[in-house]
Order: sequence, then C-alpha cells, then structure tokens
Amino acid sequence: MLKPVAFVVVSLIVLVALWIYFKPQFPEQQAQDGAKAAGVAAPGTMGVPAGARSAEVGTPSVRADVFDLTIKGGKLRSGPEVFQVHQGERVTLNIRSDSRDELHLHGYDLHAQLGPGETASLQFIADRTGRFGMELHKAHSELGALEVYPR
Amino acid sequence: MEKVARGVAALILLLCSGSALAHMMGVVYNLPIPFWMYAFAASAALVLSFLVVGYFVTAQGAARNFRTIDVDVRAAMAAGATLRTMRALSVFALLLTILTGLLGPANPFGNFSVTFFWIIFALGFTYLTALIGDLYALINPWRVICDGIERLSPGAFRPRLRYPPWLGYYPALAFYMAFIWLELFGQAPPRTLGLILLVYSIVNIAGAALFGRDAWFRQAELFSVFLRLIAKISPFEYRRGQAPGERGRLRLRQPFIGLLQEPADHFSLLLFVLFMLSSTAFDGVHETRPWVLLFWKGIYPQLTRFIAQPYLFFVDIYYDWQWAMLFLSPFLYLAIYLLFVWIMKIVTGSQRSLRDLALQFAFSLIPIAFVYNVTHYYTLLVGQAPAILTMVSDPFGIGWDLFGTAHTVRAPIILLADGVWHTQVGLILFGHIVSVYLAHVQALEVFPKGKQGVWSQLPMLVLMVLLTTIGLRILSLPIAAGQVQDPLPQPSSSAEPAFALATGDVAFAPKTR
Repeated sequence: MLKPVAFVVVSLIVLVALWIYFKPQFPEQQAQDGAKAAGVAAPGTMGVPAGARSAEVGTPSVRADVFDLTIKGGKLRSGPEVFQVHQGERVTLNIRSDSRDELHLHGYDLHAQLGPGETASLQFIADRTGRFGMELHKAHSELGALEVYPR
Repeated sequence: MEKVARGVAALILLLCSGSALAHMMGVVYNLPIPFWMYAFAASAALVLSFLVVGYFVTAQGAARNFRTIDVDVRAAMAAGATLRTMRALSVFALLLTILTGLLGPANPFGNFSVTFFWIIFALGFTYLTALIGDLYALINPWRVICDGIERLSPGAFRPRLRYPPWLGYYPALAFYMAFIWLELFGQAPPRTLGLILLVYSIVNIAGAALFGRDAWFRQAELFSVFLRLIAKISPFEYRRGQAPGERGRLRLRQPFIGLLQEPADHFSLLLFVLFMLSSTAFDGVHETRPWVLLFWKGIYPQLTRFIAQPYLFFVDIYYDWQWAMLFLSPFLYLAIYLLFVWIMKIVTGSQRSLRDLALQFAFSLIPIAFVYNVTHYYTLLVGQAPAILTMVSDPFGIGWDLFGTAHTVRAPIILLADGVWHTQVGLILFGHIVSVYLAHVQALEVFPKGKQGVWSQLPMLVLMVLLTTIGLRILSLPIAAGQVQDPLPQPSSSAEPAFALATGDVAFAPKTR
C-alpha cells in the first residue's frame, strides 16, 4: 500500500522540479519565442513597420499595439499576417483596402467596413486570450490572425 | 481510399451552398502552447515513464489482481423503464438531427443538427462514455430502429450472409476515415449533414439486414466500435444477462482496467486504434505553419519544375496531398508501431508472432489517443455546447420557443489560454502515464518470465514517449495564417509564378473545390 503512495510523491516532486527548471522567469517571452519560431510579427520585435508601435497610452501599464494593413484584391499586401499581443493591451488595426469589403475579427466579433481610399480603424482592448482569425467577408479570404497571449 | 473521398467530395460539392467554415465542429481559438511548456512536458513524460519502470522492476508478483464489484441493477435501472425511455430519446434525437439538417436553417452555426452531431454527440457523448461506460451499446438509435422493425416483422434481421471474418472492423475504419475527412475538409452544410446521416441510417439498417444485427453493430458501425473502445476507460461495465430471463449486471472496476480485459481481436481494430491517434495528430498538424510550408516551400517548387500548370492546379494538388496524408497517417503509425513491437519481440525472444504481439498491446495506446482527443477538442465542447440550449427551443428555425430559451443569444465561451495550456499538458502527461502503466501490466502477462516482462517494455516505452512528444510538439507549433500560401515572397526573377500576383483572387482560392 505504501508503494503507490511513494510513487505518486516521487512523481509529484519530479514534476515540480522540472516545472521550476523549465518555466521562464519572464513570461513576456512566451509570445516572442513563438514569434521567432513562426517568423511572424510580435510588437516591438520584428516585422512591424517603423513607427507602427506607439508609446504608452493611458496608464503606464497598458501598452498600445498599432498595426497597419494594406489589402489589395482581397489579399494582404503589407503588414503582418499574425499579430501577437499580450492580454490587456490596447490594439489598433489600421486597414486600407482597394475595394469595398467587410473585415471580421472572430472571437471579439468586431467588424470594420472597408472602402477604396479610406482607412478603417479597429480599436479594442485585448482582454480575451486565444487565437482569433480575421477574414474578409466579401473576398471570402482569411487575412491572418490575432494572437493574444496571457500576461 | 482517395477515390472514395473524391466521390464523397463530389457529392458534397453538388449539395454545397458555399458557406465557409474553418472546422466542422466550429472555430478553435486555442493558442499553440509555449515552447518551454512543451519542453517541460516532454521531459516529464520521459522521467515519469522511467519511474513507472522502476515501480514495476521492484514489484512483486502479478499486478493483475484487479478487483471488480458486481452490482445488481434491478433497483437502479427501475427494471428497464429508464432504458426504454433513453432508447426512445435516442431515436428521437437521431430523427430530429436528420430533419433539422434537411429542413432547418442553412447557417451551420444556427442549425441544431450541426451543433448536436459534431459537438454534443461526437465530442460530448464520447467523453461521457469514458466516464459512464458503453451506454451507447444499449441505446444505439440504429439498433433500436432495427429492433423495432424486427418486432413488427419477425425475421427481418436474420443473417442472410455470414459476416466474413476477414472483413473485421474495416467497414468501421472506412466510416471513421470518412467521418474525419468530413470533419476536416467536408465543409458540409446542414443539408449535407442531414443527408449523410440519412444515408448512413439506411446503410446501417441494410447492413444489419444482410449480416444480422449482432455482427453489424459489433464490427461495422463506426460509433459502436469507437465508443466501445472508449468505454473501456470507464469504471462501469454493463453486462447483458447471459441466459434468457437473467438480468443485466453493472460491474464496477478501476478506471482504464477495461483496456486490459481482452486484446484486439482483429488486425483492423489495431488500425482503428492507430487512426484514433493519427487522425487527431493530423488534425493538429495540418493547419500549422511548418506543415503548410512543407508543401508550399518544399514540395511545390519541385513540382513546378516538372509540371507546367497554373497555380490553381497546385492548389488542387495541395488538397489531394492533405487528404492523402490523412488517409495514409494510420499506416505510417502502423509502420512505427510494428517496428517497436518487432524490437520488443527480438528483445524478449518471444515465440509469439509479431501480429499477435501487436494486437496484445494495441489497447494500451488508447489512453494516449483519448487524452490527445480531449486536449484538442474540449475547448470546442465548452465553447459551443451551450448554444444547443438556444437551438433546442427552435430546432427548425421557424419561430418556435419550446423551452423559452430561443432568444437567449450566447456568445461562445472562450477559455483563458494559460488555463487551456495547463489542462492540455496535464492531460497528455496523465494519459501517457496510464498508457505506459497498462503496457507494463500487459507485458507481465504476455512475457511472464520474471523481470524480462519489465525490460521488454523499453521499446514500448520509447514508442510511447515518441508518440507523446509528437503530440506535444504539434500542440506547440504555430498555426498558419492561411491554408494556401502565396509562394511568391522570395523575390526570384523566375517569370512563372507572376500570374499569381496579377490576379489577387487566385492566390487565396476558396477552401472547397
């Protein structure tokens, strides 16, 4: 009877030790490791046009992430395909399109009406974590995704 | 197999109303798990596996003295009245799913049949089965319908043909492959789903009429086979009365022990178990960035060298390739599995045949397959299942409000990403340990020569660590932004891909063909 208990205790100790060993000290890195592996844009690391990321807005703890997208013929022409942000950050998407369409951000269920010559803008606080697809309704195309990582 | 898939695809295209859906079961919001968590879990799987080995090396005697308790179900089951109600409900649910599919709203997210079949039944009922046992065997709607017909015209289901032994579980495996294909690539709108279920019902009744109910529902019907395997996890087992007039019994056992009760009784069942593993792995990997790029950056440039065809041609090839990979995946896993079983045979010098050994250890893979399925789909179940409460009040979308819930609009529940990660990693580790444990107990039975049983398990241990690591790695891979990648970005001077740029709508072809 003692043996299974000992087994469970040893297993738990091993698990905790490994957990402590592997857990990064700065969870900030979670998203950016992924970003490097994927070659996608995380704010402040790569891929974002110069000046795209503004300074802090509002309280100092809220970071703002601004992404600019250009769509031509229902297809992303410039800007990152995957946006990685952290939970609680203020996200701004500026979208320019050469045709009339509707952009839909899943999960947050936000819509933006696009038109030629206009810059549509979506602003929201990234309070839900997860991976949320972005699609163009008219062109029936998947533009990319917003990845919101936990803090 | 692909021809069959093409046939199904043609049928679907014929009926398809062109709605775009990322996944038949709904939209997955899961983030890939962080790399460090993958590294943690993979190392933990390795270390814990050796702890299990250590546990068994020092174990004395047989570890197989599992206790079971038989419970008389006379009182609990209220003498079959409960069962009769559940059978009626089961048939009602099937008919409602078919009818709402055929007649209900065309929007898949608003149609009762889609949510009920893919979320409530395919996910929810599977997980329920793991908890409460093989209830499905008692209330299988197709079997209940057959029993009803038999009562009206006795002899309707006397076996006209003997079920050929070589056929085994291959029909169930074929249905399983079609089911997964439909889930991943089918994009079947409610009408098609209703029609498919109707056709499947007719096939089941015809099959039962041809081979007899027992043979058909034991080996050929997909959900009977699938849920019977899953139910082996459960601590409950229902036993029918042997002699006429004898009551059924409820047997209590330790969870997962049911997997040790019998070996796989046919080679096709081994393939079925391997497809449980490989189909979920394929679902996990087939939309990740490395996998998608493997085709568009690896295979596509090679193909263009030999075949001068427009880009759209290769989009078709891409889907052919994806489908081929899905249908080949169990055979790839089979090759890996047989390799390790063969090493085990060499190590132990066992006189048993490779086939026999492979069948003996097949069910020990089920915990890994099951937890892998749960980690992939439980967020969908939690997120989408509540929507059924709205739909059940107005299943046909014609303005009913049977339960007063028709107008409660529910946003899908989105679980917190780090909670999901921890659950996924925890479940995978748990399933891995259970599988390693079961394989060891099985080894002590199959190779009873002392410690040899334990060390014979090293190949199996390596295999299981490999499977678990693959599973974890897939969970950690970044997801591709689109299935059809624009192969252009490299600024090469080659003129051929230029057409893809010229017409923007070509590069993002719709997913259906």
